[in-house]
Amino acid sequence: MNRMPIGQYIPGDSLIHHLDARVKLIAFILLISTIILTDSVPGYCSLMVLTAGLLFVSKVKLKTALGFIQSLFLFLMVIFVMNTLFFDSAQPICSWWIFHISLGGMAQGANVVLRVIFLMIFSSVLMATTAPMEAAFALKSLLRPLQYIRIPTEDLAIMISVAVQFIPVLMEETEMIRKAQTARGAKFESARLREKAASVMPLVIPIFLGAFRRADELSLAMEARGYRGGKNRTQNKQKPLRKQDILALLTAAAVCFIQAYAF
Amino acid sequence: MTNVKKSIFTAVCMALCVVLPMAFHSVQNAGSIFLPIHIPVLLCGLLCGWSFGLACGIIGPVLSSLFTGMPPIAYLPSMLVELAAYGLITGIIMSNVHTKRIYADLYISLIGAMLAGRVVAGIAKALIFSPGHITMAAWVTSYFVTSLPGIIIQIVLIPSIVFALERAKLIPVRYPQISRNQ
Amino acid sequence: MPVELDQVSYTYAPGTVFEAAALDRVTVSIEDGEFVGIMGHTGCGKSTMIQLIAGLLVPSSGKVLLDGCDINDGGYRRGELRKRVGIVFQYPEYQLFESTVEKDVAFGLKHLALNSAEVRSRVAWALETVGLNYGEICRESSLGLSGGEKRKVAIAGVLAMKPQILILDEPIAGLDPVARDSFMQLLDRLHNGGTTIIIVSHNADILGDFTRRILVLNKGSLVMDGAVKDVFSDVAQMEALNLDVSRPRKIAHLLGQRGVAIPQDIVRYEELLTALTHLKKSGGLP
Ligand SMILES: Nc1ncnc2c1ncn2[C@@H]1O[C@H](COP(=O)(O)OP(=O)(O)O)[C@@H](O)[C@H]1O
Ligand SMILES: [Mg+2]
Repeated sequence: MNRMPIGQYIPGDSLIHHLDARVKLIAFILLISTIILTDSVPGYCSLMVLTAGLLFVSKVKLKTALGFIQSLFLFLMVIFVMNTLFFDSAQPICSWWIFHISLGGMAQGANVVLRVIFLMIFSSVLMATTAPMEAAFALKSLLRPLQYIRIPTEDLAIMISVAVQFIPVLMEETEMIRKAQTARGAKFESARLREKAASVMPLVIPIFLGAFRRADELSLAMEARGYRGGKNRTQNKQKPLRKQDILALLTAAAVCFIQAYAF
Repeated sequence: MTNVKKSIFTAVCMALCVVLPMAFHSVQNAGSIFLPIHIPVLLCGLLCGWSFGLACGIIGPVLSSLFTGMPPIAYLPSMLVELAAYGLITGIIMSNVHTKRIYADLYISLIGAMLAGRVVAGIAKALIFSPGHITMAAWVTSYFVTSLPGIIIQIVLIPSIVFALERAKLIPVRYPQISRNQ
Repeated sequence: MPVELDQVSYTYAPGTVFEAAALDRVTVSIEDGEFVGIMGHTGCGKSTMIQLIAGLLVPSSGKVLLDGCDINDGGYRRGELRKRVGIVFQYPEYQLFESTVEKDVAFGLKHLALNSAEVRSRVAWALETVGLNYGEICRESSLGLSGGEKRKVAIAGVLAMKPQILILDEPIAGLDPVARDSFMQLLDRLHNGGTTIIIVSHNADILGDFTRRILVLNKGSLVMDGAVKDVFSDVAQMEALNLDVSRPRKIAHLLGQRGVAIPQDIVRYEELLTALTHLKKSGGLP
């Protein structure tokens, strides 16, 4: 009965769906860096072509990829206006007190907004084609190099695994608590600020008690079995990358290189 | 608490970074006022110390993005910086300030962390979204003002959670002698 | 105040990959003061059905009527529903959160227009009803109590609302036999006081001992509905559904198969004993 949330994942069988999640995460990071380096019209045109290609290969619908626009519209407007008003430019169109409206500011605003839009499109494609479980797993292995700067990545990896396993359990328990309190007449809302906090206590406190009770039981069991920390744990075997994964990684790197140097 | 226990507590706090916002989403559209994802991170720092709080502040929001799509990736960097600061600073203050009054310890840690976290989040936003020195101040102030109700709610909510956990004997009591004398 | 389900269907998460049809056109009516058991294999929709009755889920199609009124009608007052229908989930102790037992039991009462003396007397009544001493326990922290006491406090929190219909979702799973028995005695007392009781359980012996009527669900459909002895008399169908009948019934069934002329409407141990004594006297036992 454990239902793991799947976020924006849309099961499918495109080329991108079948790639190793580690590769997708690295490619995503590479693509973000190219977005940040882009700030010219031809640069954005080429990003657009890239996006079209990616949507085609991943079979993600444009509507899905742009699904974020509605919720981020206001945010994007704010970014644009802030840049327009505050950007320090040599030739403002008009100035008043601390506000300077200038073409340079508008260009800067458009630049930032476009970057956010491309970032969101690429992340939509990533999330639509990668099951969250796999992404979390990939995250663990990508953290591993951090052990060379003395970060206990084994411990982190264990915490991530345990956290992921707890998600569906805690979701179910939360739902049960919400229903039980609702049946007793609880309303989780109130107009006044202080009462707002009080109104969610019947929900939030039992959720934390339940979560910590489970954590307590699990840690006792782990200690009883002699677990002391990440060090003495055998490492998870990692799947080696396949040919198509390496090919995809090289493609992403090449694209970034061209994008960064050509535009 | 042993390190194993702290690790597992941190793991459930990471999981709650995913689950709590979903719970709030279903009861009311007040996620933006309650900032539910802040609660487990602050609590993790308070109870497990700075290193665990920091881990929770970084991993928690990433897991939430992956599993629920919230926060959207565009918000993730500034939120990550903010939450990492929360986990780190609550942990540092809580383990260094001992006023003999748990309320005072909690309030000092929470308020210190929330103020500092919001400043760094504001700076991060300004750096990411609009370079320019005046915008920096604008982002920081706007972020401060809009999230003030959240601060107040968390100051009421989080100590209550800590006391409930103490009463349920899930975490050690901070000042056992004092509470026995009461 | 009868409860009626009229062609009620429920589907979880429609339109997503988690879509699950949990209940399919269930029609049933439960009269005032009944003591009804609900049985069925795990995942057959028992919890879904009782949450629909309690108004915690809204049917995908069909109607839930309380006293003839559709509880999901826009005009129906939620507060009224909460007051009339109480629901106890499997681990009710997990819903405790207040600093004292008294506050936890009184939580639901805040929403009823009661003065503080009335609240106190309700809390005291509820705690005494579940077998706790009000004076001793009311100032204690509910979170520091033992597991059994916590559960009692949580149930008191539901009883304090004096619901006319009390619904329980597998409340005795995980209890030891003594606790289980005293819990069922409590339900029996409430039932004798006029409360309608609807209980979900896998324990056929307990249902046989205490309930009068049993509903059997299978894959979201209501497949059997009748007096306990009638439902249990069809051992073959119950076995086909992977469900137990009460053990005395099972014994009678096995004896019957061996040619012993024992009545086949036996549900409880006393009935079995009487029948066997009778048989022995009349020389019917080999
Ligand atoms: N929140 C949910 N989301 C999706 N499916 C659910 C949910 N809750 C229950 N189900 C499904 O609905 C069906 C009936 O569940 P439930 O009423 O809990 O059964 P029971 O209580 O008889 O074990 C099951 O197949 C279950 O998997
Ligand atoms: Mg159930």
